[in-house]
Amino acid sequence: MKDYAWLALGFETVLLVVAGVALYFLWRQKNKWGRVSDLFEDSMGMPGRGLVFFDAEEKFLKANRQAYEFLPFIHKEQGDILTLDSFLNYLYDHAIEYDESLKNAIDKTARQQDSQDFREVIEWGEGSICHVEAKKTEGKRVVFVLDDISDLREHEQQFLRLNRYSHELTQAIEAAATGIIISDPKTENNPVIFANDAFCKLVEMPRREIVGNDWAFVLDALDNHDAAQSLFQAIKEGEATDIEVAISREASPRWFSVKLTPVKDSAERLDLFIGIFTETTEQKLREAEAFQGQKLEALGQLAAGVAHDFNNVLSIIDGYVRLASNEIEEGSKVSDYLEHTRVATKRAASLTQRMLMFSRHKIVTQDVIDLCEVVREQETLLRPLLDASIRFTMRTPPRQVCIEGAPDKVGQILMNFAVNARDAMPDGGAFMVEVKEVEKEELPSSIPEEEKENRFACLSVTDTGMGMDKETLNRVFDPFFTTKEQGKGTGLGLSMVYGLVKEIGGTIDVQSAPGRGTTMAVYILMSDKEPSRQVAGNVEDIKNLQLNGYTVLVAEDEPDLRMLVGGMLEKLGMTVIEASNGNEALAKQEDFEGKIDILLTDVVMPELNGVKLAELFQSLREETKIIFMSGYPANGKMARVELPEDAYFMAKPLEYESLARLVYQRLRENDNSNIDEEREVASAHWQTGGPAEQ
Amino acid sequence: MGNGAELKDLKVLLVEDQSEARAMMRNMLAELGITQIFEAPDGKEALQFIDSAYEFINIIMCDWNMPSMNGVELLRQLRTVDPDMPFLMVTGRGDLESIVEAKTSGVTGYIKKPFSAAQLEAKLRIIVHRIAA
Repeated sequence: MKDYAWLALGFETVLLVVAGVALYFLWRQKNKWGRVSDLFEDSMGMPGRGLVFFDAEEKFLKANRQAYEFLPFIHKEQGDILTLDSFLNYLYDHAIEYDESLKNAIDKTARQQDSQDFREVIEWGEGSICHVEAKKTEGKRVVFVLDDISDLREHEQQFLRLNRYSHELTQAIEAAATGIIISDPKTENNPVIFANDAFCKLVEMPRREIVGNDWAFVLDALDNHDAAQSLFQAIKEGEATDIEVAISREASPRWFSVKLTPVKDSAERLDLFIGIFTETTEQKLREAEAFQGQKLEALGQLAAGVAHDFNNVLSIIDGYVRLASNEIEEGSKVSDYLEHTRVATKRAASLTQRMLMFSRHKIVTQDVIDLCEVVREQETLLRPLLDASIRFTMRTPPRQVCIEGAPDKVGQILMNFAVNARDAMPDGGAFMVEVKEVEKEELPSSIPEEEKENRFACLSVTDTGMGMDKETLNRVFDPFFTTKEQGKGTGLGLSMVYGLVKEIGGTIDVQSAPGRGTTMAVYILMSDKEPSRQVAGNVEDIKNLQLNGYTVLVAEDEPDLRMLVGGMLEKLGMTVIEASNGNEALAKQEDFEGKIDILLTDVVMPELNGVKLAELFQSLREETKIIFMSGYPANGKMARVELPEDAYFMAKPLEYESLARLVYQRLRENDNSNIDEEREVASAHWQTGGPAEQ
Repeated sequence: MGNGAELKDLKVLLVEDQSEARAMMRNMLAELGITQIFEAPDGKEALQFIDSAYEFINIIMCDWNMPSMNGVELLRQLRTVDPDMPFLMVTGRGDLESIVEAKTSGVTGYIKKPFSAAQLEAKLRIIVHRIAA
């Protein structure tokens, strides 16, 4: 039995061995055919891949269905003998040039495969392309693998487009004037992953310090703690925010509109945080200026309204006071009281006059003047207004700076500036008046961009006084706004300046900070024309003195004398208007639209005497200066008319030189009745001389 | 009024709706030696006066701003019947437009409120000169 058992065991072993050998052969076989059968299997599972086999003799062996589709010509050639050579020729014929990017894309997909002997991209069907590579198998066969890569090309191009697009986008974002910052809330601390140039400049930090840091760190650089806090809060909550922040790094603050936007991914998780910082400073300034302009406009209308009504009331008061004083004995107490009432009424009237000066901004055609000369002429008037403890400097360029305006307006502007500066420097300091032509870049933002192409003159005053805070600055032109003690100022000075500047078509800009003094600058469009009024020569060389552009009205009843005097004045270059009596003089002045600088009137005339004419004339034309002439000595016994105490008088017969000298002297005087000063400034009423020589 | 006319020869119709202002102007005119002064509180009455008693006046002094009929309207109506009557417009407005409007509607003169006695005298003298010329 034992033998049988062994036998049985042996049989079993034989069976196992046979099975093993069979398996071995099968395995060998599989290995032998390995790649090819793999490829066949692959092709079954990958319908996009075509396969073409050639045997070792380079004869066509087989192709799969996909290959026939790619290469329809194989069908036709099948009956004949398709050689490797002709197949390759066909491929070369249909090969296309492919660009670098496609090549890269193919390389990427081909890298995992074995080395190839042949690689080409051919065209098949309409616009489709196919990648062909050939490999030699172990059995010297050649297999061509064909892949449709039309999609690949499309994708590659799309990828390229995207790539270029994103490159351009990045560049655009970098170049943007808007500060852009992106953070990654998925990472701990929400670090900044991107910040463009504008943002780096805004926070004045290098990019390497921004990128990688958290928001709190970055926002701290904003110099605005509150704004940083509220932004940080919004970031913490993952909320969208849109706020406006002011960042005041130096004296002038910058405003930014800050928009924070959380971006979520498809699963509604916070993916990115985008912060956009847009500078709105200019817009803010413009808004503030528009607001300021509107406010002043409204105040002007209000002031004008009040002034008009008030003037009506004042004229009634004045009228009745006048009547009452006629009824009262002169020298009595009541007459004294009434006189006080009249003086007060007059002061009230001058106040309303100044209010009106603020509100009327009508620009009327004006003369061309040399700003430098006009300003230099003011020097003698400005000095006495300033205290001795104030150092006064005047800077004017040696050449002319012509503008269209009126010299008296420029004078009033300067005098009000000077009074203001003096009061800002109770302990002394320095005051500088400067005239210059300014560059486009120096112009304030309140001048519209398109106007900046023109040439502008700048008349500025700078003091070393206490300066103004922002609040004061905002109200500096408001009528009745004053920081001076009660009784020291009416708060109309700078309002008047504002009105005057508007009237000469200028723009005013104030720069000031507490403790840093104040600069007030008036920008005026320059004129290409020559000044219409020009004094040539000087009083030392009276024979050659020329007073071009000035106007004189001669009132004289004696026709020969009138012509003689008129001729002398015309020789001086003046425009002469002649009148034979007082009434005619008044009528002629009404018809004359320009400025009449001087009224030269005979004292004794029928109907209306010279003194009365002068009074009536000045009631209509305050600015006109008067010179009397008479054959009688002034206020002498023979004179039938009494001249005012401070009158200027020429004795007949008139001499050319002394007439010219006196006319010149009177023209050089300046009027300063419109300074915002309640108190009397002795120097403001100075005279260059008393009653003139006879 | 012929040549050599004087202020005191003026015969004035004062048109002004506010009685105080009217009284004030009357007093000013009286101060200038003018004795013939008539008054009307509005344009309608002024036109009636001119219609029925024009011999008594040779100048009209009229406020611009009046209810119902303003100075310019009164002047326009006046000019249809009397193109030469001197007309001094009293205005509270000193702006260029108002002055131009006053001038083009045919005023002989205009005077801005508030005015002094000297200003009124000057304006009246100009009118006297114009009439004489």
